[in-house]
Amino acid sequence: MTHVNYPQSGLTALLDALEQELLAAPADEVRSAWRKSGRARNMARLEVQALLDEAIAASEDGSAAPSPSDTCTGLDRLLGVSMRLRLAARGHLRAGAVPFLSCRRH
Amino acid sequence: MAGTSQQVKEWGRPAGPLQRDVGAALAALSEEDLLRLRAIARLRARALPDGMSWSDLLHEAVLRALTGARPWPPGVPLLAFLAGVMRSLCDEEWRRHRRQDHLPAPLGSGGADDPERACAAAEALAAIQRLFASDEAALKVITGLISGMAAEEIRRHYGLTAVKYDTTRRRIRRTLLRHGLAWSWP
Repeated sequence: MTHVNYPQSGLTALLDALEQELLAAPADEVRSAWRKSGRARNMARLEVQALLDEAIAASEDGSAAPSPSDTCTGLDRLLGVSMRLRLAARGHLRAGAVPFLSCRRH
Repeated sequence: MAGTSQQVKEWGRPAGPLQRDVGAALAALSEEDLLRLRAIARLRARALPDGMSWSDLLHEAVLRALTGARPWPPGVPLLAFLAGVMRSLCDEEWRRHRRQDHLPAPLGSGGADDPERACAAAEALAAIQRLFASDEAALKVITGLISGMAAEEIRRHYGLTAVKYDTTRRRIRRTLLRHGLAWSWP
């Protein structure tokens, strides 16, 4: 029961197990879980779809990004910025994190 | 020689699917898979710093898959791959959070010596347990999973029959899927 004393490792174990449950859930079980939530289900699906479309558009915009081997302006760094831009747009980032945005490719 | 020629062809291939294949696979996801992905993202985002949301997490995972920053290994289902990317993004986000606060990196990879992360984890565990507050059997299974027990151990420890255990797991899945739709958790 060592996990009880370490919430982080307990959470990791739980999330990994629950994630496997969600991945393995049969399609009909997934459908039935949402059977009585037509409007919410539709909105949720549209929201995820919009999010995927946004990511696809962002990846196409960044297709000319420098190679990941360039550690200053590399792709991974650029991608890190994309998340911070989304957070900053919603006012989640603290002021101390903003200078990081100056590394963004122009 | 035919074998050698085949080997050369294999070596010439990219290690994983091409980037455009990720896009095509994303476009081909069923409604069930989209909602499954949302439920996983919401689950993973329970204990993130800086108000990072499930949509930020999922967006970033998809972006990294699309650009090839996280290559999609052959033979791995797309959803399992994206779930894995989200999992590692959570760790990455905590490391970034500590750097911003000028705190030393935790000694272990699990962040067991990071009090802020431990606190966030405890809150997330409490939120997940609240989801199942009215389901005694589900709480037993959840507690077993938190303790790192395997299915057989959980069944034995709590005296659950195989049928009872399976129906409990199904209820847990349904609850998680339904709450994947909801705007907020209890």
